[in-house]
Amino acid sequence: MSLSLRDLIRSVRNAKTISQARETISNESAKIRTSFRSEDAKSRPKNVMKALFIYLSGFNANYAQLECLKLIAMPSFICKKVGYLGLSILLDETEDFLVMATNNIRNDLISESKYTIGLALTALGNLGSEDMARDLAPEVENAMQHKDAFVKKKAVLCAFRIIKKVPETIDRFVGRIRLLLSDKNHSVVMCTLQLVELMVEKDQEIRKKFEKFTVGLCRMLKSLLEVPYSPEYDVSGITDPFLQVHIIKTLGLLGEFSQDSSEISSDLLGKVINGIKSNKNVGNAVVYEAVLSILRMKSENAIRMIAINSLSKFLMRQTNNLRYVALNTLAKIVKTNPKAVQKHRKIIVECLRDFDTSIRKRALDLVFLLINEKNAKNLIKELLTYLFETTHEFRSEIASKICFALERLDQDQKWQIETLIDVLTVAGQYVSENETSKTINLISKYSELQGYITHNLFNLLLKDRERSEKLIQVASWAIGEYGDLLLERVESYDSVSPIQILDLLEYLLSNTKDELTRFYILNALIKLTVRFQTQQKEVIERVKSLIQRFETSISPEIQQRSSEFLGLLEKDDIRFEILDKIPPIIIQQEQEQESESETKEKEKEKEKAQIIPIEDPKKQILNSSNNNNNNNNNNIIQKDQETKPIPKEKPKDSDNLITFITTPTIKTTTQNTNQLQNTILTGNNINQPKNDLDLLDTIFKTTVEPDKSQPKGIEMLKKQLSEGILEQNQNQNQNQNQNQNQNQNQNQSLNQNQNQNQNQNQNQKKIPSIIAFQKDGLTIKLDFKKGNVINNTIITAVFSNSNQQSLTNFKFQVAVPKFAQLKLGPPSGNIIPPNNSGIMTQPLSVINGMYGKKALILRVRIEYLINNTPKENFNFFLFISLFDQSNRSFFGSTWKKQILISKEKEKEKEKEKENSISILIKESIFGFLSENENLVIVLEFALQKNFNKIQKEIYGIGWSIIKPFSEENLSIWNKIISIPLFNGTPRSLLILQNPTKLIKDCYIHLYLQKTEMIKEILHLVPINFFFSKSDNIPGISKSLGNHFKLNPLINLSFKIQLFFQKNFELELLDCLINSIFLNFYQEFNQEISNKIKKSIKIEQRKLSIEVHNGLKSIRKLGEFFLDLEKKDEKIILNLPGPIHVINQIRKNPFFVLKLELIYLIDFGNFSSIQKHLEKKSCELFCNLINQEKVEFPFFISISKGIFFPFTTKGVLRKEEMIIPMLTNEQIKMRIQTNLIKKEKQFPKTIFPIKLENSEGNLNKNLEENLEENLERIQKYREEIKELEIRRKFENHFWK
Amino acid sequence: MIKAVIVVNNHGKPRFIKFYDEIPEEKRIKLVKEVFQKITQRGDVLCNFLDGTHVSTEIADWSSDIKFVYRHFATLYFIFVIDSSESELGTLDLIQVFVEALDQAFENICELDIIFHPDRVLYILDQMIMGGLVFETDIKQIVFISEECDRLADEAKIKGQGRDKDPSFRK
Repeated sequence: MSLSLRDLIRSVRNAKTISQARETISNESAKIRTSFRSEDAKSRPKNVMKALFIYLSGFNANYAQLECLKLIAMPSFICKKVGYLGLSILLDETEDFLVMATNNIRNDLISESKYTIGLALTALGNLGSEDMARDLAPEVENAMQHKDAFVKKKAVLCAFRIIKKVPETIDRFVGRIRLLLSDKNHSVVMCTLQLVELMVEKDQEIRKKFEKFTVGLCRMLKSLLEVPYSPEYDVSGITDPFLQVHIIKTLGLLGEFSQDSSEISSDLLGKVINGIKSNKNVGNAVVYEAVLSILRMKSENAIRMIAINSLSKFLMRQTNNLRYVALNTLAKIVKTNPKAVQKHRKIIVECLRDFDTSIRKRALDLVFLLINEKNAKNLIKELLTYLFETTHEFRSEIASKICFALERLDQDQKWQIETLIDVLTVAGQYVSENETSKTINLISKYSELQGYITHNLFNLLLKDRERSEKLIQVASWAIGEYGDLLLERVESYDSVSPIQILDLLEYLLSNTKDELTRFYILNALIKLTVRFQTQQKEVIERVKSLIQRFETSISPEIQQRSSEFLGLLEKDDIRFEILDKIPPIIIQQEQEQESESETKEKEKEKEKAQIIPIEDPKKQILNSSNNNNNNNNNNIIQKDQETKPIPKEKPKDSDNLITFITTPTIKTTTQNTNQLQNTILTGNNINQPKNDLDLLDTIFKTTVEPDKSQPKGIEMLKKQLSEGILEQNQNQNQNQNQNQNQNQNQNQSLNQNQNQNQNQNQNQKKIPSIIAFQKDGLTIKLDFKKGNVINNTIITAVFSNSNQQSLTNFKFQVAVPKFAQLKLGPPSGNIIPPNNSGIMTQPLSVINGMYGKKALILRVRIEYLINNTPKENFNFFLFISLFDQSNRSFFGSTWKKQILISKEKEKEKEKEKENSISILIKESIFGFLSENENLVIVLEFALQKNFNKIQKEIYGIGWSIIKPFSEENLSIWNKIISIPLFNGTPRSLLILQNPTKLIKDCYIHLYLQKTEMIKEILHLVPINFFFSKSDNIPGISKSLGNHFKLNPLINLSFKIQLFFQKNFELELLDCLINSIFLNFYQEFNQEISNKIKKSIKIEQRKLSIEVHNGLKSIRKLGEFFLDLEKKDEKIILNLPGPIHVINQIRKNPFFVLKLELIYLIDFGNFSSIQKHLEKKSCELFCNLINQEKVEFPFFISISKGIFFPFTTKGVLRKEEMIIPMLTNEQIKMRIQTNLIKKEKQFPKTIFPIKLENSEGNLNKNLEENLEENLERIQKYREEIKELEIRRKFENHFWK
Repeated sequence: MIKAVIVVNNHGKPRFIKFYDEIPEEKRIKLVKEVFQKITQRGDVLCNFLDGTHVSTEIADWSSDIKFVYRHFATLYFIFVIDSSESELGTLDLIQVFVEALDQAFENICELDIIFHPDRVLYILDQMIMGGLVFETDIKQIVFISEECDRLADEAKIKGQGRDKDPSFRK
């Protein structure tokens, strides 16, 4: 027997756990479903009710949906009631089921019982879908005429829904409104008013039609107001406030566009406002609605004032709800009625101190809307005090709003800056960097205030040094820029001595953790070195010592900056110009948003410029020319200033100074071009003297705010350069090979600065032509001529080409700053003939609008194709790796590089055979190998097919091996040997003893040479490591010819002390044995361990020292064999090698010194096990930054997967290293066993591999063979797979 | 328009929920939870309105200007969700009417009444609000109709007991 609803609810509520409740419900659900299935009509209502309860408790009860429909169809009222209830709970209008109910609802709508009709109307009003609305509209219309108000009001609201769903039905109901509005029943009228509101909003014509109701509505409202008391509708003293509210609202809507109806109703509404004197919510609700309507209507100002005043009364009340709505409304109307709202400013400001955050927030919004020129000072003062008082969450918002408001208003600058400083003082941590920069911007703008402001800031910091970072930033900027002004008395501030300033900055510098703040302070320090006339030497010394601290900072940026500052301090000739005061910063509006670091000063720009040459030696030229440019320009500018009073002075030598900066860069894609152009321009701009800045601004929008674009630009530049180098080389080479030749060469920026001091009265001097660009055979010469007008220059660009191919599709584009006008004449052609056999010209005429004020700058872009052939989409790659034949494993590092294979026939080679393919590689590859007869060099050729930029596929072409040290191949040196190329990949070496599948008639011709080329740098080259001439190896300079040279600066010695603790090696062995042999002996115990220990012997130990960058060894510093007998002693090693490197590297936090202890262990009887292990060593990574002590992580690992963590501690001192082993030190340790028992003393053989071909036309042949090759590759892959499977199987078997 | 009526007890357990828009179940739950949290954070002294912008639950049909108007009675929070066309102060009155109607219908309403008679609560609400619009604010009328309906239902029940089977839906 199923439970009753009450029992069900009770049992669910009594359930102690959720699962218990769930169980009860699922049991009951099952019963209900059974009952439904048996069509038990009697218990259906009860069951549906239970299902509803289950649904409301959050469980699924959708099975009852259909039952609801059945219930609706039943004649009995209880069934209908439950059915409709279920309908409204279980279904929504999107449910398809609902359509089935339409007919039943229709039947009910014409039912006799008003309650049944009521139920049906409710369901329709709540759930009616579009289809239902359309179908049932006539019935609803009929119901609106029902005699009972109960049905009428519901029908009216149904009509509301129907109109919402199907707007075209609106006409059907319009005619009924009049009658309904005059209904006696208040509820019906109220519902009708809602319908009217909807109709009026939907249709303008109906609005006009309904305007005639205004009078009637007013009468109704009046009677409501005047009725002394009607118990029926009274709500706390007001007669039917709900109806009143709706009448007022409708009046407002009707009056919105109509003068007439506004006039009729506005007086009455005024009366409502004045008449209702209720302190209760009800009265206020009516008044509030009246205010809203008045403000919406076309009412007179007097009445509007009444409305707004009543809002301010709301504000004065202590009721939060009223304040909230009043503020909300005021915010809405402040734009249309600013004056009226302004009157209540005081109260609004008071609301800022409300308890309620909703109200505070609204008040704040409103206050900001109210701020204008007149009241700004007062209001912002209020806000500042509020800023002090308020909670943290609000501060950031207020601060930024104050800043925004300040910006908007044109106010007294002094006050403006002071306010900004106040904001920074109070809420520094909440404002964005934008505000800092705005402040700085303002300070820079008003030169007359700078002294005062700087004093102000200085004193602020002096009083309390623990200010917000933002304030410190602004202050240190100001001090740096205008430090000289601090020495004077300004207004009430006394003069300050340079030492005091430095004291403060030093304190701030050492107490801040913020990187940006440090930048600012460092900047200020360096700037101060040129600010003071007195005590200059002391200042410089002091600054130097301060900056030196940061020379080894962990942050690369600060490190870089401080070392550059130090460098700058040495250069007295340029320092003064570089560190001069910056001109007012002009920020364009649109950039403001983005520019985050706009406040970083010009020094930074300079530094950045200095970074560039470090990135790429090519840029050095650029930079030096830039420097010249700097100096020259500065000179000019200075002269400019000097000569201003006497404009007709004789021209000096530098008057016709024209400087160029050329930055050619080659890129294969045009898309990149633009980017690169920008970046390079940035690089250049940075180097421009300050006075040129704004001029540059106007040309290049992207660089308007140099500070901003710069870091980005530099970053991009770096990135592009690092990527570009390879590509570039390749490109150049490709040009040589003429394989591919789409080469778009472009991009130099060219700055032409003409001095404007040129005397106008003098005879026009002939301006010498200049070579604007010269690279890759292309030369651009610019000839200058004065035009008719004084500020007009006619330039003829002359292009010539010394290449062997003509340049086609030549495009020459020029850009000038905004103040200049450019007319680009037609070019004489778009092809430049080769071998300088002809020229192409293009005239341009430039008018300098700022003649005499600004130098002219041209920016040029060149685009052309060499040898109009489409780009080759094949690249060849060579992989060189090392293979140990006896151990069957690859080792060392694989060298991979794109190679260029020459197509040209070399006829002098006699060996060539007609049908064979040979490969010639144009690059010398160097390697340093450990001499071992089992060592094999594996060469692999691969072809990369570029489908597009992203999609690339690599196919192996073939591979080959060289055995450099095996007996039979001793004669390979210094002669051309011919080595066959094999099919497949070298992976087959892992399985097969020797490669078998030869590619027919395909040979590599090698020229192997023992060379002295890398002798000098040998100790820096890691063993088993390949490199080519184009590889960049740190610390090694590629000197002329084929020799590598060590950086000559390397020559210092280094001392290392090693302590070996007594038991270290014993423990090491223990650990080793444990880790290795545990795998082989199931019952591994002390006995076995001892047995093993007896037969194991340490043969040799040596210490190798390398510089390591955390990922790979960068250079080897030396190797030392340690005496096995000396165990507990201190071992002192003097490393003669290039320890200097370390000193250099010491500045780079990424480099560490790697000490590796290598043990050669004789395993005696257990040699079979050794096969699994290669070499053992323990490594110590020493950080070389100048910390006194460094701690290291430490672990021992073994190549085959056993891992033994140790915790030990190591201490490293600056000059000597003491390595107490295994006690309490931290060492990183890796143990591997070596197969080679007695390693020879690393005999060194050096040779470059030269691969040359005897037969040309390789590419052609290879292309022909490509298809065949692909087939072979596929076939081979399958073979390998098979072999692998077999091998796996075998392994499995052996286990 | 009234968008929803929510009754939650002091512990955040929803006691009665009626949405006038089609809103997926999970969103309803999320919304109720969040609104409850936001409202309980506010003291009783503060204003009875909560801006829709404070609530992160996004509901597609609802524009940003919705407000939550709430009142706290003993153990229950009555929350009405309204849009800009509805007066905030008026809604506060409406809550008052709703609660008074419930009070009269149940004779001193308590939380348990709502738990055990969700159908009656819904029916009373249906006599006040339909499709998000208020159509009746006369408490007497509301209570009278709901009682009348109950009476009719009871009569039908007694009558229905005499009848064995329902003629419709027979297979």
